[in-house]
This record gives sequence, C-alpha cells and structure tokens, in this order.
Amino acid sequence: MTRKPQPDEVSPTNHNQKPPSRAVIAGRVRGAGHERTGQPCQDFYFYQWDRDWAVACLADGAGSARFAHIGARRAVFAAGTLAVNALRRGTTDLTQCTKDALAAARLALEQQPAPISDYACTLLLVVQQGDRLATAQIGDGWIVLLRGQSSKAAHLPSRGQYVNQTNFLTQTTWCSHVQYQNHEQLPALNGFALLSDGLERATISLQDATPSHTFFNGLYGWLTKAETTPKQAKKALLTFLNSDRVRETSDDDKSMVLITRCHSGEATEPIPSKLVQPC
Amino acid sequence: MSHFLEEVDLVRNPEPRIPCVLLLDTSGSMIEDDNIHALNEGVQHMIDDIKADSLTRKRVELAIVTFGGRAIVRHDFQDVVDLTFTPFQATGGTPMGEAITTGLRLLENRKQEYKKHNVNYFRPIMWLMTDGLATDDIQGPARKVARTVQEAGLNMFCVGVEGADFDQLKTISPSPMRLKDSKFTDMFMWLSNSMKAISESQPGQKVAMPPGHDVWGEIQA
Repeated sequence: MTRKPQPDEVSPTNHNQKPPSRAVIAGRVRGAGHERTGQPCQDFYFYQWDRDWAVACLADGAGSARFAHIGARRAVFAAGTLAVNALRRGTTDLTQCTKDALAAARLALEQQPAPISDYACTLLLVVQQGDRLATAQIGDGWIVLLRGQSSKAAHLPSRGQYVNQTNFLTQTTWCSHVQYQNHEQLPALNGFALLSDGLERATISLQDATPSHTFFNGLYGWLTKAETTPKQAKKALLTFLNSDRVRETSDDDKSMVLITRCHSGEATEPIPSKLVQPC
Repeated sequence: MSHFLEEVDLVRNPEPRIPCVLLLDTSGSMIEDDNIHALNEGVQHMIDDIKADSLTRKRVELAIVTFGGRAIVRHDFQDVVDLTFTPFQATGGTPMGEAITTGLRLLENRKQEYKKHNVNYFRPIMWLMTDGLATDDIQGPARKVARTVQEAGLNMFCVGVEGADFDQLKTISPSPMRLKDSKFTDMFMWLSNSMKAISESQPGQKVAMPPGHDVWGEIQA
C-alpha cells in the first residue's frame, strides 16, 4: 500500500528508487514568540520528488489568524498534491502547474468551516522538472535557487510599508499579489531552498536581497558529501534552527526545505527566466 | 560531532526599527503641580525600561522634541541604548504646531534613511503631551497629521494634562487621553510596554496594546 505523503515529513515517491542525485534537508521549529503565547508552530512544508522532478512548498501562518496553523498545513498539502499529480500525469507546463496549485490551496482554505481570514498564511512553491523550474510566491519568505557561486532569490518577498505586514493567500485580492516565475534550462542549478521569513535575518543579506553564499553553498556542499546521512542532516538542521544564535535573530517560527539536484560543472551561465503575469 | 551548521557564519542584518517621536510640552505652566519634574522622571523611567529589554532596546529609536517657548529637537532619532537623558526645564509659551511640524519632519527624514539603507521598520509612533493651549497655528500641522494617519503612515497619540484644551487636541487625534493625577511614569511605562509588544510582533499580526492604560489615563469624551 502506498502511504499518502504528509506535510512536514520526508516523502520520496519510492524509497527503494530514491535517485542518488538528490539530497534533502527540511525542518521547522516554533519561535520564541509562539512559545511565550502557547501557540503552535505555524510554518508547514511539503515536498516530494521522483527521478526527474521535485515539488516543494512552504507556508507561514499569520500570527493574527485564529487557525493559521491549520491554514498553512492545508495550503501546502493542497498545493503540493496537485503539483505532484500533475507531474505524474506528465504535464510539462510548469507555470500552469504552479497556478493550478495555488488555486487548489486557496480553494482548500475556502472550504474550511470558519471565515477564510482565520486561516491566513503565505505560500511558496517550487516545481522542478529536468532543467526547468517554476516558482510561485505570495507573501514573505524566500525561494533560493542554488547556483554554484551565485545563489539568487527567485522573488522578493511582498511586504507592506512596514516590517510586520505582508500579503496572504486568504486576501480577496490574493491573485494580484502572487508572483510567478518560469526558469527554463537551468543546467547549473544545484538545487533550491524554501525558507520562512523567520530564518531570513540569519541567511539572507536584506540590504541587497542576496542569499548568503556561505550558508547555502556551504550547506549544499556538506549535504552532498557521501558521509552525510539524511538522519544526520535533519538532526543538524533542527539543532541549528533551535540554536541561540539563530533564535536571537527572530522570535518567529523558522522552517526550511532544501532539495539538491545533480549536475556536472560549475555555474557559468545566468539563469534565463521570464516573468509570467499573475492570474 | 562537528558539522557544517554548527560553524557557519550567519548574515548580520540590521534590526527592524520602531521609530517613536515624543512631543513634550515644557512650557512655563508645566511648573504647576511640579509636572515638569514628574515628566522628567517618567521619560527617564521609560528610557531605562527600554534599555533593560534585550530585544526592544535593539529596535526602538527615540526622538524627543520639547515645546516651551520654541520647539527644540532634544534628541534626534537614535538607538535608546545610546541616549543620555538631560532633564527639561519649564519655560515660555506652547508652540505645539511647530513641534508637530518638527516631529513629522524628523520622522520623514528617518524613513528616508531606513529606505536608503534597506532597514525594515514598523509604523512610526508620535506621542504628544501637553498641559495647555497651543500658542501658534495648529490647524495646518493637525491636517498634516490626519492625512499621514489616514495613509497609515503614523500612529498618533495625544495626552492632555489637567488644563489642556481637549477640543484642540481632538483636531490632532480623535480620542485624546486625559492624564490622571500627573501619572507620567505610569504613562511612559505603558508606552514602553506597547513598544515591547510591537517589537515582538510577527508578520501580519495585529498588535494589541497592553492593558493598563486606564491606570494613568482616560479617554476624553
């Protein structure tokens, strides 16, 4: 019997056929702010992959929403499963896949019993197939494309004028706040990472919106070493997220998913990409 | 066992800031009931309280403008940890309009600095305290405050000490507070707690102001 993948857990399509070219590290921890108020961690993620494709999404529930943790969990599961099913059916239109996935996540929140604003959350999504990759983002958080010496952010987080404001999937105008991007032919791509905004102050240079080369490429290098086991990696990430030096950068929940892919040679070409209009 | 994540250097970003400007009446009438002394004590307590909180002290930036005779910038925006407070003297008239204009200018300049250096910030706070009636034009500055508040550019608070003209304060903020029994220290401690609540807030969170404002004040109907 095939077990359904669950949010926030490792969910390769088939453990026996795990492609040797991929390594994954993922974890989430509750922030000090939620520890003080007794609220649960409101970050959730989902990921799944097969030999030729990978899907990852991550949602951060709004601190002000009553059921933000449920909203974030439902959103990543709905978006993730739709994208996985589309790829399994053989879709090659990754942009449409990300649009359908976000629509599925929004629908999942509309179908909840309480008013939709009670389930407010952001959403990040990456769909990768061979050398192609499509990303979507509403709200804050970061999608990082790992490329040799020059990792870059797929989008800038959408913020309001002030630091404690962002956009959510539950807004009436959510469509106009989603950023989509389609990246074609990425032979130099080492992998990608999704992270909630709770981790941004430790890993992203906010002055120029540049992912930390030391962090992301160092992590990639460590993760892809033959002696690093998945169990070790997960434990190390959770220890890191809970460490004092990371916690003092933010009181918020912190989560990350990083998936590598195999390629030969260093990144030499810029990432060709084109902006896709929001739905 | 040592691994990469134990040793990796983290990015050092500047803290997001909470800009707060205090507009404080130091006109001659503040000598009555020794209000000027209570005001000085209150401000000193607030600064000490912010300095004692590890997160808030990294995020709050305070500017202080006094208006007694003329509007004077006592402290332009700076981290509270770097602020050394010198007590105010009460003297002169009440140029409240000039003080508001000065406060708005300081805030606008600070916001431009934040944007220039990519520093994230919370909605600015302007806190006006007076015991009298403005002795200069208040209409223009009040309209500018109303417009800035409407554009979500400011949280404006007005507090009147006994003797203040509340009808005039209502042209600046619709719900001014009346300070009870010169409880300046309680008022400033509440403001400090409010800034702590903001500094701990998460994205999208509506920040509830801490309880206890009824200890020092009441909304003037």
